[in-house]
Amino acid sequence: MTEREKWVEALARLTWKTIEGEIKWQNSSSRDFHAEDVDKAFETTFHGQRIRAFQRRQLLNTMRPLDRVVVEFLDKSGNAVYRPPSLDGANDLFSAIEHQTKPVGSELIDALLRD
Amino acid sequence: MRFASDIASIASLALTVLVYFNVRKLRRAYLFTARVPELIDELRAKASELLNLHGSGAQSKSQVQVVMAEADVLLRSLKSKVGGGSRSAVNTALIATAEYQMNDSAEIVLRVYVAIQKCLAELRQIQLDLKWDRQL
Repeated sequence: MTEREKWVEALARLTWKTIEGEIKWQNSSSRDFHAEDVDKAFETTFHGQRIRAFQRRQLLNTMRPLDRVVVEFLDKSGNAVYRPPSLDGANDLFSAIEHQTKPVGSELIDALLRD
Repeated sequence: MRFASDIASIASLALTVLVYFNVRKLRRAYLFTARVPELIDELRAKASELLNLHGSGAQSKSQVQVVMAEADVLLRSLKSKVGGGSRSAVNTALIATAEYQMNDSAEIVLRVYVAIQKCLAELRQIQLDLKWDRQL
């Protein structure tokens, strides 16, 4: 299995565990890591490894579809030490994280707005 | 004279083979540019749908079956349009979808999702290669 294939599988399992609630994510501020074009950022720790996922703001006239969602591994002080290749599956992970971290009551509000 | 005509026949055969492979390569590149991106987008959407349905609980099992069947059709369509490593990734995903027909457990849904993601990663690489190929 190549490194890329390994990451594809690891990312899928990370998403799966997020959906199943085995991995809990928390909101993180983009100010924590001095990023300018970040919309939303989340962080978790799994098997002692800090992981951050964030969504970059889509700039007009910029073709950046693949790295809109970035996943990176952090050291103990929160600095990014490894950024795996960007993949389609990262969007699924981000959706799962957003769903998990939705504030209480937001689903009820969404349901009311749909009715 | 006979020798010269033999050589000419062999050369023309070699040329025909060369043209055949080039036409095949062009056809594949055309299909990749025209149809495969659309199939990739649809397959990506199906994979996301599988995840969402899994997240929404057991009551969505019949919906998972529908999405799985749709993903299977997309994979079969992709299989006829790709070759090499991509085709083997597509085959692995097709094996996983067939497995789901016999065992609809969450573990198999995850296996299908992983296999589809591997297909997508493989196809994205080929798309990038083709992009460079066209620029050269």
